[in-house]
Amino acid sequence: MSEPRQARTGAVLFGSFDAERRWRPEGLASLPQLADPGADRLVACMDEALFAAAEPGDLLITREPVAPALVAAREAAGYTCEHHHTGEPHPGPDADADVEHRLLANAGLLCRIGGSARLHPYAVLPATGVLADLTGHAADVPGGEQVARVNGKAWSSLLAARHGLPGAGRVVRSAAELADAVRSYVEPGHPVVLVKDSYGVAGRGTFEVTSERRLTRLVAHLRRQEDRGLAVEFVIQPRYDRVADFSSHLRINPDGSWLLLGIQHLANSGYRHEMSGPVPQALVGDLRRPAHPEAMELVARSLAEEGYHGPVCVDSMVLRDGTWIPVLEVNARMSMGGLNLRLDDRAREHGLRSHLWQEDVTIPDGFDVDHLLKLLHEEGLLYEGGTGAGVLLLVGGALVAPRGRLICAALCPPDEFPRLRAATRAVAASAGIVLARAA
Amino acid sequence: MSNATEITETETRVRNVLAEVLEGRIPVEEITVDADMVQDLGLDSLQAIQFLLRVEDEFDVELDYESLSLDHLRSVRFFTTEVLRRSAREQ
Repeated sequence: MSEPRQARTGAVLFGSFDAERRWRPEGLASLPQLADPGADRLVACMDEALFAAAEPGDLLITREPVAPALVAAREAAGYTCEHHHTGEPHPGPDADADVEHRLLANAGLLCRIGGSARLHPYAVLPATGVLADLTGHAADVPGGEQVARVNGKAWSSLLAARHGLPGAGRVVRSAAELADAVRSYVEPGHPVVLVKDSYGVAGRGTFEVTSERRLTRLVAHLRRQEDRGLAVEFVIQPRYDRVADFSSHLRINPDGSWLLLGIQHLANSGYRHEMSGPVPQALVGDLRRPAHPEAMELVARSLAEEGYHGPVCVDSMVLRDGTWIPVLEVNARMSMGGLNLRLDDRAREHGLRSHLWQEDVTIPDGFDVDHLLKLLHEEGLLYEGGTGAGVLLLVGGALVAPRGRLICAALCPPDEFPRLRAATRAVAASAGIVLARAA
Repeated sequence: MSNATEITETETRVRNVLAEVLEGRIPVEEITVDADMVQDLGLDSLQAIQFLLRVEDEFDVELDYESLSLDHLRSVRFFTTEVLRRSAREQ
């Protein structure tokens, strides 16, 4: 931690993927939801995928160990960053602690971080700021309060509304206001209206209002929370008739300058990310009122004015009538699309493109990720670097019984992606993995 | 109508709602009353909420979400007897 700055080399990558939950202020009312500890456990090991954003010489620190066979497979594919983890899973008071808090309790790793050139956290959480201060990297991360604010859907909706962007969500701050806003969309002919938690993510935190009865139930649910002193903050939007979703990935520098890193086609299952891949060229070039660069300039400038710097993902939607919604939400953090963009940058050097996909699966007892990798290798499906198409398994820790998630990237020409995904699914099935929602 | 028949009809309606939420991925005739909705049928937390909302519409009941968890969806039969019938009795 006391090393001089010029002696430091490489970046350190780490971070919790359930950032929105930690940014969400206490005392906010919530939509009807069911506890799902299994999903939380899966999200806790998603940080394994951060290797995709690491360069040789960088250091990846994951919350838990990564299967040695998976590390070896990545190295064979050319992903050779150094890797540490914060400890074996064990019962105890810190068993549920996130990677940021585990790092704060690990003097050796803190020292190692202090010797690195810069921090690349997945997202800046309150504990990330403490960690940055302790390791001499305070300048690498923006203030936690600003980061939490700009990641709220209320912030991006108000930004879009203030600048007259099409499709801006309406922010409501009481159950009564919510009811009025939903009805105001139903009357002009939107049969389904979405109520979004300002800090909801991955499908948790979106409620579809399809009938007056359902609206009445929701309002009663929220009024009970208002009576207990909780504050209401939701974003209301009609469910639009979409033809395509895409995400734009920016980097904002500490001096406020910014650059567009790339654009990713986005496919969702329900309201949850399912696939990121190359975007058709015509999709973004034809966008008007505003043009794509104008919309991104507005978002980037506004984020910089708030004091944010770092990675950004802006989700947008193209509608059937040819118009588009430039700012569905702003994620001021890394993202699955952003990680795929990094994989894509390297794949393009070999004439390939990267397609990242994830799907829920059921895992048999005794499943071993080494076995899956061995089967993929035997079938010639593993990506092993260079120009040969293949698949990278991004997260091994998510493949645990009984419920898991298969998260992969197919590096191949775009027209080969369906075949590679189908072949990977077939191999996964032969290893006992049952796909929960095969497309 | 006997009690047993009534339960079967209710379970059938629950299975139909479930098949609808699963968007045809699993045909209704393959959804057994003992199948674990989460583990065997792959219902996630978002779909679980959709399922409960549609059950409310189908049976004209109000469920107490704050007292429910994914554990209550362990099977069609368990959900029907322990959650749905109890809610209907209380209203």
